[in-house]
Amino acid sequence: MYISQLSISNFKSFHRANIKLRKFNVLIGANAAGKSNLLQLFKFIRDISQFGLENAISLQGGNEYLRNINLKRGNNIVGLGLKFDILKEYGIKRNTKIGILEAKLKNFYYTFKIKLNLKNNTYYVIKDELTAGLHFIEYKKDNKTFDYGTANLYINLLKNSYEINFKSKLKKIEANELFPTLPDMQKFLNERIHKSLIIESPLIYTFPFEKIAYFMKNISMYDFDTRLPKKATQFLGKAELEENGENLAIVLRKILSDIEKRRAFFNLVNNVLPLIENIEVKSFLDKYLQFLIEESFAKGQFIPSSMISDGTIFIIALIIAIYFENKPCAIFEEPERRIHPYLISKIIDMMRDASSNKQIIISTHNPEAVKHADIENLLLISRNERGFSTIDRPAEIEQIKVFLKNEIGIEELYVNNLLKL
Amino acid sequence: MPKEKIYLFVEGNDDEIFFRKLITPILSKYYKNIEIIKYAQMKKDKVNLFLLSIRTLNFDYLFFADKDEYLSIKQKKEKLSEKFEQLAKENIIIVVLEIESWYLAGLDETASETLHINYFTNTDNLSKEDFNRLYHGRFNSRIDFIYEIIKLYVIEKAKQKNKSFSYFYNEYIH
Ligand SMILES: Nc1ncnc2c1ncn2[C@@H]1O[C@H](COP(=O)(O)OP(=O)(O)OP(=O)(O)O)[C@@H](O)[C@H]1O
Ligand SMILES: [Mg+2]
Repeated sequence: MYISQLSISNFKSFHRANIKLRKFNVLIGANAAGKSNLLQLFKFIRDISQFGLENAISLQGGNEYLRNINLKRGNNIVGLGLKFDILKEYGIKRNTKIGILEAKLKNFYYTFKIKLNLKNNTYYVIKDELTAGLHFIEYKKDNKTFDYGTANLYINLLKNSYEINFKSKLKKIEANELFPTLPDMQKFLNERIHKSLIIESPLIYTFPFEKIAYFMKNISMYDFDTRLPKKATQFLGKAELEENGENLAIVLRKILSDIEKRRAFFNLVNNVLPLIENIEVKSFLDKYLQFLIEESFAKGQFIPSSMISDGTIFIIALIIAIYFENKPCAIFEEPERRIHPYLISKIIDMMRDASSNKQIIISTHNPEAVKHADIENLLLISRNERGFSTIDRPAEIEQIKVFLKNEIGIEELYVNNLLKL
Repeated sequence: MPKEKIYLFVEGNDDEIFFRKLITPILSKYYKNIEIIKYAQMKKDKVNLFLLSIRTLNFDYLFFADKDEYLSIKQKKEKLSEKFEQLAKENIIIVVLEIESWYLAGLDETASETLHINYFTNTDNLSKEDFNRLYHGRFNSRIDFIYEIIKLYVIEKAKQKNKSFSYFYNEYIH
């Protein structure tokens, strides 16, 4: 599953923006254009589902900085719309009164709007709507199937309560039979009406919404601090890679102890770091873990992580984040900062490769990255005449195609600041 | 006595892996240094300047290019030498259809079984798309798949299963 469309209103430097996303997305644009602000939007969504709306707003600097400060103070509604597309079709089968019924997920839409009160730093949710597009098939006893077509299941905030709406050709059964958790979810939402969002409800983790809930909660925004993995880590720690990479040794140990993962890991490392012959994770004092690297030039000699180059640590962490972490969406700010220009095209290739299993979003200032990313994956962020951040797809700008046809590379247009035109 | 240096011009990263991992070890009998240049993302003029410099320095070079489906090998060579005036036709080797066909050519029946993919007796007509359809399921990564192919690669097999590879090998390596 991935976010295929995003509409933003009044978030940080954005006023109104509407953009299609792909599985691999490369954000480019001038300094202060709004790239990091756009990435913050994904963190905001993640924070809402992890910590709740109130905390998520605080983490963005409170009401004052969540909205666009260039707009008049009366303009205090922040809104967001997301469309999710499903890559691998999935669904559930339930035994109902009429027989076995299968519900297959097609897509999701989620929209919310929050009205901010700048005087007393409170907020009021004014729109909150989640839709799942479902395709229903009935399996009859004689092995025949009946196709009911698609229908939408809505959870929608009305003035004073949440409504659940399900219009389909399946007149004989009720939504409740297929989705037994909905009444409890409705009750939960009604108790917190206008203060929290649908995606904060614990019951969102049940069919048909569990995938979207899981997606939002697990958006990862990596920012590796290469000094941290150089130190030994405590034995007991999270088995998933921390966003700053500090527990790299623990994660490496898990990967290296699994034959299949170990095999794939060394293939991928070898693609960009051919000098690495082997990696070992050692424990000491029964309490700490450290990893060591053996280089092909010095077989049998293991170099401890404290002496490994920053770029090496960064690339190892990056490979793990994109290929081995079970996260639906991985975000990196300027991941090419520590990478030799020759390797950038390979790293971009690997991200494209890994994006068949997860959505990847990066920002970059690097011409090599722009050159190798495929123009379709580029998103150009810039400020318009009123100072608002806007998003364009260079691939869809006709004039750009003419330059490209004449062998002027996308990276040349980019370096000369001519992409927008 | 091995010669000083040879430059291999290849299209992109997947080609670079093929030549670095599978061809460089063979060529290192004949050359002290083997350099690989990826030219697909390079301007025409840059490629010409690279070629000019290499010819001036009197180093050997080979220029590999995929055959586009609508062209014959001869037509493709014509097209390339028109585009790159510094490129000598005898140094051009056309990869048919694309590097993916050369990767799959080196797999014997056991290797294909190990990788859980179909066995092909001939890969002259296999395309990138065919290749991409193969690895899903067993592998999460195309790059991982490529490196597994390399581990099982048999050059002799590749010569039997792909005409253009066999031509390259017999004409330029023996
Ligand atoms: N709440 C806000 N309202 C309006 N504008 C804002 C708000 N918060 C930040 N900005 C503007 O956004 C700019 C920062 O944008 P951002 O950090 O996304 O830039 P960037 O594209 O990542 O640039 P760089 O390449 O330099 O990292 C700030 O300079 C400020 O002008
Ligand atoms: Mg930034």
